[in-house]
Amino acid sequence: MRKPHPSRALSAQEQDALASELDALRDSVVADLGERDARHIRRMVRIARYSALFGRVALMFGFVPLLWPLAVFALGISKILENMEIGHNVMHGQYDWMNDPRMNSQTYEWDNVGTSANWRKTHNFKHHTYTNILGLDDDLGYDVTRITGAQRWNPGYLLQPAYNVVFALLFQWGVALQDMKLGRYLLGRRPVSEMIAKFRPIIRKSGFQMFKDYLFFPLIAGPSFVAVLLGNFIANGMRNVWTYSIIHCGHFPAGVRVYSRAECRNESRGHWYARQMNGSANIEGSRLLYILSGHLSHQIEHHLFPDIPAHRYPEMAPTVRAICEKYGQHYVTGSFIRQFGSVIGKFFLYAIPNLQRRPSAA
Amino acid sequence: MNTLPSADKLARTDRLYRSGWLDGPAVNFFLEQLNPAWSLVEPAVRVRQIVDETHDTRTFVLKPGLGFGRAQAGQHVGVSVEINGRRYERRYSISGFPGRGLISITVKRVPGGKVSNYLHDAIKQGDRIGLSRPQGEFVLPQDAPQQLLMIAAGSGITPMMGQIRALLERGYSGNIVLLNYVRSGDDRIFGTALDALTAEHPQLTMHWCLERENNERFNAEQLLQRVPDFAQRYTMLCGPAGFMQAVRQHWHEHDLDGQLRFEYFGAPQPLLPADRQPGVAAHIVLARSGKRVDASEGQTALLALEAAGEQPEYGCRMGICQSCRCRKISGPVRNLVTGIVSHEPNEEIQLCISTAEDDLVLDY
Repeated sequence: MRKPHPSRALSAQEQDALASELDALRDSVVADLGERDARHIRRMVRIARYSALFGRVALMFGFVPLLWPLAVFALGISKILENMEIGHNVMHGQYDWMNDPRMNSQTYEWDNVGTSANWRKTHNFKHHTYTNILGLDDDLGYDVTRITGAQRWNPGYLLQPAYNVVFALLFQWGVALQDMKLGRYLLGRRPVSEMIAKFRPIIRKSGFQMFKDYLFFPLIAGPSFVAVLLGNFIANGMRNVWTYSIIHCGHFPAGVRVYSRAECRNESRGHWYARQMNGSANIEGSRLLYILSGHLSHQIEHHLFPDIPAHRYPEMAPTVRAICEKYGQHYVTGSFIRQFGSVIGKFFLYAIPNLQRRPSAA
Repeated sequence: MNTLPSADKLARTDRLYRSGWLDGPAVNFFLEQLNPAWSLVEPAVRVRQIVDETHDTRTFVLKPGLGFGRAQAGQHVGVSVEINGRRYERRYSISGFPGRGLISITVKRVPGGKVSNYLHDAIKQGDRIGLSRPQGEFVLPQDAPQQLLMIAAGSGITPMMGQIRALLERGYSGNIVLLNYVRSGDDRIFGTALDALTAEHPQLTMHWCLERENNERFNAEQLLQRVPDFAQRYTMLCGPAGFMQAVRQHWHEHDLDGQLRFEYFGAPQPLLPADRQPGVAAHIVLARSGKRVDASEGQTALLALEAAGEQPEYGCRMGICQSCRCRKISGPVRNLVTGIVSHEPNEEIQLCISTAEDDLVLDY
């Protein structure tokens, strides 16, 4: 809007060439999948499980000085690992080639109040197929935040910098309720009976999560009831804020493109690839950050190859970046502080109506 | 016949694993850490003993864990191994019960076979392999018929060996004729054991039918000569698909289908090769409904199912979202994204990017 997007438009031939280069990269990694990848994901599972075990047991002895914060931290890290590097990636089918029933994308259930079934629909299908298409990708602002001038303004957005703090703290509930699209029922556009039917699995799943963290483990801790309950609450909050931050750096930082439906009608595979490149942003950092972000630090690579084991993305990134440059496509990347800062800037920028005439999605 | 585990037959271990309230996956993780044989998903049991049967056939003695249930002679078990990070599963017939709480499987090398060769080359005594519960209907009736005919070819002897041993140990009062077709004298699986059993039990008559030395293949004349009363006998049949077609055809022509029990390794085959309509490249059999769907050349399985009025789940239709995942029980599929053709049984495929290279059976 202020200045034209730096990526150039690709001809049909260029789109096809781009697609075949990316397909070739994909094929080379697929052919190499094996032992190493299996070892990686199992190691992550072991770390998450033992870290949770330590956290949950140590919380019961929270009266020992310094043990309580350590236990909360361990449980929080376990929840982050489980949601990001394990759950999110397994549910993408990244490890289905292992043919291991424990790593099956269709049966995996994660440690989150949102059901895996809902997630597979809103995220794997809608968000990854229609990435950054206004009106089709519900992840564009998650229906609550205005992050581009192409979204119609309403006065409620004036409060978005404030309510995003609450959203961050309760992020897993946003994930759980996203597919409900509650507005439709509140406005009476859809029958309430449908709402109740859709609510049932969510209540079941979140009920179990609540039972586990706020009743079962505190109760078996006996006298440490409050220490455990509070510890679990903070660990969940820690995971919520972290996942919120990482996920908001994926598609909202400056330089990321938003598309209109018209632009994507009957798009070629090459156009789809280009849209994924231009519609995603990476975060630069250490290997620890990569793992704790579930390798969503490599959002661009993830969107190009959602079903390739994520720990491969850092190795693929230089090739992807070279292909981007070759075809004149902008590769958005930066430190976590810079990317997240840019997103927060947008919360303020788009809280107020557009100063110019409403632009087309660009 | 090959049977599929149905939802209502799920064992307690499966139900526990799927339980949300008890956090089955977490319980399972720590059980597996304590002892891989305690897995709720797939117990990994130790190989107690390995016995060479022939130059290309070995028997593996295994100790199943809890939750394995009661196995019957003639049933088969799922055996899985992990090769370069991938789990491969095959079903093998139980060839015997060599001790209290033990079972054995007998594996012949299949040329190019992933699992059979791995079992031969890489698995040593003391190693662990995945073992799932016994299944299969290729079992004798509770009151075993007094006159039995068993026709085995190659490794088809394995389920029958289990049955013969079980019968004779129980003090079976009837008599058994065994026609045992093998390639050559060197390929006599259980040769010594069977010879010993025939010497010890007069009610067991065995004919070794050697293909290479004596040029013996299944034919009507020879059957009549060796087993003149074959029509009166309850007959069990197991062997390679082509061999079994010939025997089944013979029984069919004598109107004896009801007396013949048979078991295929892999997917059931039609008695006569199905003639496909022009334009139909493959048939897709939907195992849950038994329906058969036509697929044309290059048509994705998703489109073929939809054209037949099925409503499979789908999302992106371009191979990224995994909504249309479905288990392929058998048959070759081509992945349109990678171009790779896979013959692997029991693997998950994405319907929207898979084409049937030949007849398929889907768990749908």
